[in-house]
Amino acid sequence: MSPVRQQILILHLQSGDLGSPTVAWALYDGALPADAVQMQTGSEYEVPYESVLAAMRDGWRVFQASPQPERSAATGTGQLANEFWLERNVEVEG
Amino acid sequence: MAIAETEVVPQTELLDVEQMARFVIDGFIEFDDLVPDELSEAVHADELASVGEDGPIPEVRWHITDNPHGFYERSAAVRAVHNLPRVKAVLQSLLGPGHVASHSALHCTGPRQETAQQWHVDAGGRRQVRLPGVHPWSFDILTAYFAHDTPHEMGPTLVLPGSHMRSVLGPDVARYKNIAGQKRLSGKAGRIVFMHEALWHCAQTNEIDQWRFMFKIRYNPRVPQRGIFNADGWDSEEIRRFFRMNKGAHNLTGEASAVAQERADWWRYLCGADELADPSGTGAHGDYA
Repeated sequence: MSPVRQQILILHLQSGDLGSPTVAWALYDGALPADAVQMQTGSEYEVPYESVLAAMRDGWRVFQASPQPERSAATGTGQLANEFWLERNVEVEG
Repeated sequence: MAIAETEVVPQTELLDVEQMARFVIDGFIEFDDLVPDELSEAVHADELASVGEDGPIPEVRWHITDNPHGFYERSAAVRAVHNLPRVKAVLQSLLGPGHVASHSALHCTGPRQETAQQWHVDAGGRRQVRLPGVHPWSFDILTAYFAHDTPHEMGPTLVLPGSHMRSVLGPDVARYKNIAGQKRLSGKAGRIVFMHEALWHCAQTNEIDQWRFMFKIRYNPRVPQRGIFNADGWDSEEIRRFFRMNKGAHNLTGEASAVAQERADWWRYLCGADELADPSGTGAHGDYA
């Protein structure tokens, strides 16, 4: 049986609805060897999935979501909200 | 050693309200026509002479204490660029008279560089998380000057417009890779970009067979940054409309209303308004927000 490695996809959505549009994305691929190039900043201008729901339909499994942001006009803004971590396992050559 | 600017630029040459409003919305302002071609060609020649087989030569390798202005001191042409009257006028509009160049660096990216820099904010980040005693609306300016053509595939600096309004610390945004609205500062030779210090940015991969250079200076203000540009018409209906039209600009994850309020307060401060906050207290009654 081939060994299995984890891929992590981090999606940020426009709102807390898992069907709302993706506005930021990052892929961390545990199946790539150490000397391979992971996803780089500015490498893509088209979203990989329109939403978290779209990624789920393609086999990704949500395993973490950011808490609801505590925000007000007085506190300003910081990191991107509505963050979802998804994973899938892929087989690699043993 | 910091390099201080002592001259004062006449009011008529300063940024106008439309340009400054654009800076407030985007967090940067870029110009393609400030630097004569022959001057950019001279800077590019100096840049090419600053790299060898092992990368940048020691004389231009930046060090915060031992070599804070290596390329600037080495290249008369790059000094001339940053002393052009129109460049100085933009700097004074954003920083006020007496601003100081704290440090500078020639960023050199070799041909076929496959890895990019991580998203980051230089030196500290957004004002709310800066040290107590720093004025909440104080900001430094980073200039990014490209002496040669920098097409998209050459990977000029990537910025996230509007990110200067976010309160984060420098490296904490490295988790992100691709973000809607991200923009490479591509352009023709001579492009110079003036960025708010809190703007998220990163160097990009270089997909072609030439060195890519970007020369950066970080400038500190020495006066309160209000009433220092050509603020004629700051309260006009056109400007109010501009801010209303851009209320949702760069909104990513639902922060538009909070940012609009903060932009309105900052705008009033920048323009020297007597009342710094929206009198309604909501920022949502057609008053820049």
